[in-house]
Amino acid sequence: MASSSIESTPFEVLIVEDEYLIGMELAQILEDSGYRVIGPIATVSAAVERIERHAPNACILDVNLRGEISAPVADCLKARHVPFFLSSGYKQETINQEPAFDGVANIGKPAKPEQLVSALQALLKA
Amino acid sequence: MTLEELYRLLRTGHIQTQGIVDTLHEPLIVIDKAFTVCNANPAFYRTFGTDPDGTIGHSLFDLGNGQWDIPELRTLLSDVVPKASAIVGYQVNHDFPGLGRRSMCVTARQLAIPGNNSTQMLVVFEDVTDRQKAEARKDILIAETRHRMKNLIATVKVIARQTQVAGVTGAEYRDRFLGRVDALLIAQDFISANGSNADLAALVEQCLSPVAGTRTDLVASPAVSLSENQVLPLSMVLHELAVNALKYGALAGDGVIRVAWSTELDEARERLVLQWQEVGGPPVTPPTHTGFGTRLIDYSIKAEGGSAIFHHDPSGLRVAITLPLQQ
Repeated sequence: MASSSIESTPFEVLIVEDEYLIGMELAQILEDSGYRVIGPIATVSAAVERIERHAPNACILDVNLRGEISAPVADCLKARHVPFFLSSGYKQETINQEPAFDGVANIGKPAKPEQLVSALQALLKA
Repeated sequence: MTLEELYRLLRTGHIQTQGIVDTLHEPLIVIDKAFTVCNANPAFYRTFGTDPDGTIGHSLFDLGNGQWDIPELRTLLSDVVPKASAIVGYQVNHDFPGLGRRSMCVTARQLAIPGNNSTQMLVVFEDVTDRQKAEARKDILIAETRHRMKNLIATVKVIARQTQVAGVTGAEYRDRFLGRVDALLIAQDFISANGSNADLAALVEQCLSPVAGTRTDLVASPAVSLSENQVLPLSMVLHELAVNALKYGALAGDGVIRVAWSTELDEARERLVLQWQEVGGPPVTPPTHTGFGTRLIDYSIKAEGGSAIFHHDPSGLRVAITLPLQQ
């Protein structure tokens, strides 16, 4: 699955997710595919702090983090041109209410592992 | 009936009717088709901080600081009498002097007088500010509950996918899966019952008893309060350790699980040190592979900034778990 370029310098993927078992599975799927996983980080403030300190190559973002909408994280990622997609059980019309998520795809929660990996590959190629 | 009796009868009826209008909590006024106020009840004066002099004989649209002078409301009201229509629940949001920002629902109907085609309207004002706030709170709560449900189902799916399928029977898979789901539910119940004041001793007891029954030895240890976010990871860890003990460790024989803990300072931060010890079971051999259970333990504890160190003592498994505690 992992290309040689991924093996030589693994892409860093930040996982922002507050449900720890879901985060654990996401991390495992990505690690099995050769990515370097940062996180999972469970709060908006910790995620923003981490991105500002060192921007990852890509990010998988949950929408509701312990009752807080993750729009500030999305804004922070956009400002640093970090490609990302959402991993959320919310309906699209709910997500659309938040301008920070404009033009950002949602792969749903939980996403199938193969879907997750192909979505991430597409994101990093773009 | 004498004139005197008729007068008394009418007077009683009038006093009673006026009493009803005066008792009503909802502000109401009667206006004619030119929108001039003919009558108002005490609730109206009370609510809008005005009096009969400033109200009766004035146009509805001149009342207060002209807060009702809304073109749309004017159009709607001008239709009430000629078309015998009604305005129901027209909402006006306004900063009312002395009241602050309120949402008022205006209802207007042609005044019903038997046999007389009235040209007057009854206008009722209902303050719906608090009700709207309560409804907004309820909406948020419903959305939050729905979100939690979805996350819970997503978590159950993770458990279903991650529970080992190779080399086990369907029944074994089912029991293993349901055991983990139960551990998840125990944690959820524990969080809703205790919130952010989760007592470690109670949690250990509740996590171990479904698997270990009475074969646990909880050594008296200091009271420790866990944060809400630590309850689920620790519950899953305790469940995995207990199931492991039942399959391979002390509970596979006649042994017991002994759990004790203390707290210590680690760079000025308090942390929990929990000792898991299996005693009296069959000889221990280190496992040859790491499954979801081991990964779960390792991950859960590390995600909370702690560590889990396994000692496969031949006399019984020992696990030392450290976990930073909330300040």
